Amino acid sequence: MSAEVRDETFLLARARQGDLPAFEEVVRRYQRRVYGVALRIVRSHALADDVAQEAFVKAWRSLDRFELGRPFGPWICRIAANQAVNHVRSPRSREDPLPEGHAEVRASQGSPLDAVLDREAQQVLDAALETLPAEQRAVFVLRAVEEMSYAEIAETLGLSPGTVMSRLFRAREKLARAVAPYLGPAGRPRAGEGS
Amino acid sequence: MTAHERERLAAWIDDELAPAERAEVEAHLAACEECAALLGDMEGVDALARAVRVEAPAGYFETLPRRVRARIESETHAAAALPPRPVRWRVPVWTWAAAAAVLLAVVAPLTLDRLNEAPPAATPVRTPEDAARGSAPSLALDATTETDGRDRDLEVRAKRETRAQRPREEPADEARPALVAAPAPEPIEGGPSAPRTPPPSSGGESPSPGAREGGAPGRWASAPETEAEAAWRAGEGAARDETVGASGPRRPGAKDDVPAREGTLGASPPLVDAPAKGRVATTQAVEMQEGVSASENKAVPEDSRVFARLVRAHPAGAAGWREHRDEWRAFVEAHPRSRHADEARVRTIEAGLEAWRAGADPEDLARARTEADAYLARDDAGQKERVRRALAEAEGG
Repeated sequence: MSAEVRDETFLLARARQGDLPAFEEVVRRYQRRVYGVALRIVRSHALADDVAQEAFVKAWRSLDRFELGRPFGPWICRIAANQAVNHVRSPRSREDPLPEGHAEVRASQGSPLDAVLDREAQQVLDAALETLPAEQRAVFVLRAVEEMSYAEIAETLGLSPGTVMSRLFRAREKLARAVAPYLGPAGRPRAGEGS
Repeated sequence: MTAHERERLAAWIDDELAPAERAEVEAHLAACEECAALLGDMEGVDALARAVRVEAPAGYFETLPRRVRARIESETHAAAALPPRPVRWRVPVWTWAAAAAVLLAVVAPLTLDRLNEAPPAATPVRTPEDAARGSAPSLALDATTETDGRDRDLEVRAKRETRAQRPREEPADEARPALVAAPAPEPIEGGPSAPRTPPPSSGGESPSPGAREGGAPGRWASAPETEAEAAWRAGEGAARDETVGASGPRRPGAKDDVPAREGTLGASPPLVDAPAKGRVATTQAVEMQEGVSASENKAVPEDSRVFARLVRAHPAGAAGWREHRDEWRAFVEAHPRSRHADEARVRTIEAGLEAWRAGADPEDLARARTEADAYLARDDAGQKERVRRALAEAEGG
């Protein structure tokens, strides 16, 4: 077990015993990831904030069910994704379009033109994500960004693996059509790789 | 390629296909330019999505951990301030019969001693409801509905007053220490989750009528305590008092049989999830209902006392709910920084929605909506989803 995992296990063990400052440190370590998952699905900062808070509060209450030693990240992200999907399913939820510039594209390794095209590609991708049904968007985010397995996604969202595959395909197909002009001949972004 | 076969392209990217299926897809890709191009584009989409780092507004991540912590603390405190709900509808009859039997086993020997010396002073009161149910006489552990509780209360008072008018000897002083020394009944599994019986009072320590009037609203305040009542309370009143207060608070909008949503205030039974500290706070709340004076109850801050009183209130009808809503609003105005303020703001909205449900006055709904919008706009609002759901339920009919 690495030092980092040992440290995290120690914090979670303390949190399990009611040590709130220890849990606050856990929140600090995972807040960006949780917020990112939430925001990509609910598409609104206010909702993403709600989801992130609720996910951590829920995790706090369910710590006794978490197996110490296992990675905490996927577990909390699953809780967040579930909360996010529940939010967008709620009749009162409002998905406000995210303001321009809310997201940052990693520095382009190519020319200034490539940087501009990357930015445009990102905006087009954003707009296309906006048009996806929430559950397709959730499946896409959990796979493409969080790299969860189909089984994990299925368990998180209460779907069958076959449904996950189907929704993922439809989401990717739609997004691919939208950003195809910005993709190179091999289907890669024009400048640099992704992660 | 069929639609299903095309869907397998996604699974091929993610290495989620069985070897045989993978081979089939690869064979197809080698022969189909269109699918090969689509596959390439889909891989590019994933890469592009991963390349994007989503940023939050400036300073957001500096405050989120603290706000999460504050929310956990607030919900824990709020849950601890609430008394446990009655669980009559969840508890089998045999459980209450068993509880009554245990209590009788403890009280009966002591009662018999007193019977031998004086007219009965502490026999259990058998009410018509008990006769109809065929159950043991109602005592402390019989948590009933609001209405039953009030009716029983009136009957008990009437019977006590009748008894008081009969000439009788005072129970011998020797008997009183024996009564006082009776152990409190063991908490019954499935019954109220916190020990409801306040510490038995020794002779002469029964709360004064004045102190009682300062306690929970409504039931006790107007009735002066007779000598018989004081004597009865000294012996068993501690247990009996809980019966009247046992109906507990009703969370606005909560269905009778369904606990509130998981993890929120009002989740039934709240003390199951609360830490041990919460049970101490609940006992203190019980002492408040007994009318323990403020000087004796220093551990409970004023805002918590007021909060607990409001939570225990039982509004009825549209007018009652409007008044309750105004009381919650007044609490928020008086204690804007209280740890209960967030919960109080939410309950203001919920009470307003209950008023609308009760009276169908569109003004109540409009007002609740306005208050909900104001709440949802707050940066420190910790229960936005709960408010949204309450509105959705109210508007959904």
